[in-house]
Amino acid sequence: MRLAWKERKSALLLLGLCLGHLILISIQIPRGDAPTLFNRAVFAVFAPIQRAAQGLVRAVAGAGRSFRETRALRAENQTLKKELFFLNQENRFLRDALGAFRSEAVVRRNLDAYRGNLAVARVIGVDAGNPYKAVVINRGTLDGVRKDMPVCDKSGHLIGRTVEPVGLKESRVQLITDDESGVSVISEKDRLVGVLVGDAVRARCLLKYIMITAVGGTEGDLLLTTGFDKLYPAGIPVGRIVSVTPSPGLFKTVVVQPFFAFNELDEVAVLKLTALEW
Amino acid sequence: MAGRFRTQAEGAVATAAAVIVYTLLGRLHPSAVALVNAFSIAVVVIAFRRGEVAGALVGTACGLIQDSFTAGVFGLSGLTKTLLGFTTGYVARKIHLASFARLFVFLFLVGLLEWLAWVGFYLLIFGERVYARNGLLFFQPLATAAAGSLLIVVWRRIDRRRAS
Repeated sequence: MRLAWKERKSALLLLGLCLGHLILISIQIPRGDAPTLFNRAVFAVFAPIQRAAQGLVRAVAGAGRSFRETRALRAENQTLKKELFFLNQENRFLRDALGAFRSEAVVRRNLDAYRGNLAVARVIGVDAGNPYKAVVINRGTLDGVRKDMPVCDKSGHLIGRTVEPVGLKESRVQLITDDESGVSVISEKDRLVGVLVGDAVRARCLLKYIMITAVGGTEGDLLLTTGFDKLYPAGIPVGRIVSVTPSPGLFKTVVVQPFFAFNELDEVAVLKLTALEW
Repeated sequence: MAGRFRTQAEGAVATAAAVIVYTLLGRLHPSAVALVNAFSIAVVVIAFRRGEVAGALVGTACGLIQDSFTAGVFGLSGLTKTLLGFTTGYVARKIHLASFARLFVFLFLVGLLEWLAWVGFYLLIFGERVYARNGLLFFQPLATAAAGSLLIVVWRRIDRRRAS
């Protein structure tokens, strides 16, 4: 009798949990809704554990080094990284300006907006479902990071943008290879404008809405952000066209290989400016 | 009372350990999290040791944590891991799983069921293929079974040594 009641209690618990999960899943459909408060809470509680795990490993690995020396070097390294990132961006913008895409004054204005608005972050987690969809970084609202801020790799190539949930010291970054990501881009050589969407299953991107009659879009052509999407500032290198094939519909199939290498995504830079500020 | 506290402590430690292992594996290589699902391993080990109720609760916790680190639908892994925890705990009480080989086969089967449920729900909700990472994802139930049975055997030995 007691055993039967215990089993019934277990079954009821399972039923309750499953029902809870199903309700949780169904309130998020249609997809694209903002994360629920519960989702944010779980992220806020467990992201610091990820952060701590990363920190622990780094601490053990660097135990032999002098603390003062490491601290000084780290500060210097951070400054140099910011400087390098800025120089890379400047180089790209100036090259772009030479191509008569925009006036020197606009380029300068964009560059000035970046100054002092970079946060160097470390990748502390990857998406469990597909690593090419999102990563978690160790910078959050306390570091001035908010939703919809562009994120670049060490070389200044675009990797994505911050999305919700943004925690106090951690945030999630949607990669440009995510299927739900969209970036307005222009090809450097032919000035072909299109929307770059992700193809996470194949770890690549696709340039959409290029008419079959459009001239240009050659293999090897570099793609830069246009800024038209009001999400990413103009002139950030994104990737290179690897193939252009005609398709039965109205548009060409243009495959793009993003510049960032996932395995080298260790440190990234968050541009602490949203579309309204640059 | 002490038994309940011990169950809660084991569940909390296993969950925290899973988060740490998952983080480290992800940094080691992004594809490593496809092969070794630390959360599933934690769920099967706790369910095996502490029964279906603890298994279901740890499954819920681990699944939701995994979901919070994933840019997908929140609750998907929560649901499949709850089922995994409950099934493992319930069936493990009903059948004799003393030998390593039996344990391995059992954990492989429940791991495979969880994986199939996850892929099924993923297909149903997203309407797209699962990213298989060069086939590594297909070996996930095998890795879960190997690591899970190894941990259970080691834990059993520790318990036996403590008792003697």
